[in-house]
Amino acid sequence: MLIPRGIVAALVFSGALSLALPALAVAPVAAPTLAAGESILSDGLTVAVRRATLSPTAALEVWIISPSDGYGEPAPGIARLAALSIIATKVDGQSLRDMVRDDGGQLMVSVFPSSTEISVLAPANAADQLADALVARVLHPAIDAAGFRDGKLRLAEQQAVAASEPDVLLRDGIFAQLFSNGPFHASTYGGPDTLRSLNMSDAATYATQAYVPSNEIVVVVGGGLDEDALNARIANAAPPAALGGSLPASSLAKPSGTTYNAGFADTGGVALGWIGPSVSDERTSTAMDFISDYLTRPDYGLVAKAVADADPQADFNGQFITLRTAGVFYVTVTGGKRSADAMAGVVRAAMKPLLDGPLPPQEFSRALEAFRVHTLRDTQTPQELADNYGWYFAQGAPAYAPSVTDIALNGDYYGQAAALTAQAVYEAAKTYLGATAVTATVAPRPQAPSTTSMLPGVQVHEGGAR
Amino acid sequence: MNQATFRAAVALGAALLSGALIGAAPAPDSAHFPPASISVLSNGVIVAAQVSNDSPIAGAQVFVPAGLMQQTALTAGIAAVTAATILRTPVEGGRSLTDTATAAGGAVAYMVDPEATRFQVECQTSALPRLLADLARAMAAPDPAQFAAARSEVSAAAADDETNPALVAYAMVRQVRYQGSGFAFPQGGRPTSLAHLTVADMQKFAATYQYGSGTIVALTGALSPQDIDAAGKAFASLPARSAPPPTPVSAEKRQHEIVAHRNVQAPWLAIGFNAPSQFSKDFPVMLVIQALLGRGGDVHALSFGSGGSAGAADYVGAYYQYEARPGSFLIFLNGGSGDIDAALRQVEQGIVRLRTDPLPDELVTRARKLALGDYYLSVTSLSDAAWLLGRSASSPDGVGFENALAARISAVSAADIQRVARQYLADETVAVVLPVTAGR
Repeated sequence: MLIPRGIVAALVFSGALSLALPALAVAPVAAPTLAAGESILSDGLTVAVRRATLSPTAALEVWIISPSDGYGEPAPGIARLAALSIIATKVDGQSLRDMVRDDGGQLMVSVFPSSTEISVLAPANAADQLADALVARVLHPAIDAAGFRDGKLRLAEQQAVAASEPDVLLRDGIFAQLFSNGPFHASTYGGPDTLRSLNMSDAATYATQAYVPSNEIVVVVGGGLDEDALNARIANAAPPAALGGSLPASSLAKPSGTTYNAGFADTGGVALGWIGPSVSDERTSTAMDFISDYLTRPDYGLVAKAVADADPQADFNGQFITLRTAGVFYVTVTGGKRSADAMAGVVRAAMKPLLDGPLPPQEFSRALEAFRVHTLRDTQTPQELADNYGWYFAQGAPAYAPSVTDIALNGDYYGQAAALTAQAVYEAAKTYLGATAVTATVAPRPQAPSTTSMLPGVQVHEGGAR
Repeated sequence: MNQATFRAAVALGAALLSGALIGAAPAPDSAHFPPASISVLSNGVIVAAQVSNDSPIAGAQVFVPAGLMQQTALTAGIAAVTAATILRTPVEGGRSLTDTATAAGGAVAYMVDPEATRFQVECQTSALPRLLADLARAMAAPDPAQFAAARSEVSAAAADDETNPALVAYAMVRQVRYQGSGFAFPQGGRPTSLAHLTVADMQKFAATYQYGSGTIVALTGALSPQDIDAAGKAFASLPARSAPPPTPVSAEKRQHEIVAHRNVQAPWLAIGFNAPSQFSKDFPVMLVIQALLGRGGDVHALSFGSGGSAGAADYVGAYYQYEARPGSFLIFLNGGSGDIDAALRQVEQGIVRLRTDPLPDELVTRARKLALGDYYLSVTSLSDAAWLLGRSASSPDGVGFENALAARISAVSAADIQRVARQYLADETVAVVLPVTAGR
């Protein structure tokens, strides 16, 4: 579904899962249907270039399907360390970070359990040169000693920030319970061991395995683009085909019914999580997106409003995360004055109308229209559109991306949305949210919070976490 | 600049902020905003539109000519309370304006600027004319029954602001530099002024929205000529008269250091200067200075010409308030990691170098690129685009302001920077927010 930016999004995942539950059997792997405007080069690199007209900016992104904890013995944090080292390594005296900054752009690195995103938000007047720079540095990755040192330093900073964020810890806790091993089980940040034990050779070896054309998509979305010229530039810069590592599997765990203690954070909180359908079941995945919208959208969703009514001090987050083999629906409540048990009760009670039966026709019709509009509003900027292309590429379902549409709402996603019924939504809710949830809690750290917590709406850019 | 944007800017610790800006001839390497149209209704309302057919949604920003400057000491907070009352006013089947928009998947919000209040609508294009008509009706007759809840909402937001040291420091600078105007008070007023506000005050303030000339309707997104026409019609019944200009504010010349204590973990400090407002010829130069001073966290931003020593270690970022007249420019320091007095000295030394030392060409070139990048990157959403379009429509350049500003930024020279730095970056006000247990 939608990919929220910011640190709370750092643990949104994609990837291959080996599933133990028969109801969630993995669909056979087939070549994905490409989205309109996408192409695959002879080396396996996927390219998507789309002109958008609203903004004089361009989002330039490379997404790499890769495990955040490495290919062999689990090494949580290795993907993040490699990406941070690559953007800091200087070639001909300049790093990618330097080049982006000097041209007035912004560079961001996002690491998910089974994919890495390196993106540039560029003023449109600098889009060509920054696209060249991004493609050159990410499709042909290099890591030197100084870049690696810088990467380690920034990873340490990110680990420190993440460790204070209740949303991050809770989401880690939910995924650690839903998956018993593999990249979905581990934190994308790693821990002190990552910093102590991983060396430059580890990061370089990882990059060799992960950063191969068949694992990658280059996405460019923005204003004033010459689509043909950009496609040609990317094709000219593409590396030769190479054999990459295989994405390790993650196994689904059986929910234990006990509450997982996710540690201490700046504030306390509670999270609930459920396994959902695979992205290959587009109908049910779309129904889960509708459910997520109806329950969790800020200032709109039933659960979001119930939490605000129950405790105005509390922060609420929730969403359905569309994933290749099994999605995840989760909610978090943090920072409030009421107990974890009380807020979990509020969440469950507010979900009940969707579990009791199909919504009344008039309400369903209204909510479906609102869902469509929300999805359009959430995919309006170049960055939101590009993220959407990248995310669904990483899930093996590029043509199902909500951003793959037009003014008439053609495309797979809005087709599925138009076909939704109240009964289908009810069935999805009953099947997935009627199952046993996993629960995680965090407790407020005894000492004083860091000064960064005084800054509302903090958005950490390149070097920060997402 | 709205408060939400301000928060984001300070949170980023940065000059990243920016927002809307002005223009001339296109720069050779510039990007371009989509073409925009502008029309003036017979009552003076300006309707500006910028079509983007990427998706069947649209956004609007409606600027009405009454903002923070139009408040008095006794009515501080009334601008926000009035706007909040309007959003709560029932418009369709007993549902409030907010709930009506939300039920359709859209959103409505308000922002209070120095000289205007802005109402923002985003929704499916087909719903836009209806929601704008609802907004116009609610503006004309805000529901008195919603006043108390609106005041509580504003009061709660104001209390939240009091816990944010950056916002507290900003409010302190405003209190000094805009003394005698409504902009001297915090965004949400003060507890005492809020407590004394009445329904009559709210209705009186809402009446100051009722001017055709001074109202701007800026539309962006998938719009047909019929959509634009229908959106304009929603405001066609505003009286054909011009809003009175706000009371002029004199630029503050005296230096001040003001101190407040709050429940914060570490000292915060804001250094406030006068600055050109958005339609001044010096505006693009000040944007380049803002870029030159560095994005958030760039600790070397002020270190040029200092023999390699670092800039202020506690530098958080700069915030440029250019919608007020005069404008103001603030630099924030967070004393969490060291000696805030030393950090203040470092900033002051950096400002002196900016005014007096020769500026290397490459520094100026880089700052221009950063300023241009910040400008373009500030406009990525329908809401951003409508805001910039509305500001442009009120500028002497009209909607051409959008592209012309880029050209003006590209033409800024080292001599411009030093002239403007000498003119404005002096006679600062220093606001210090200390933990309740600390002295200074």
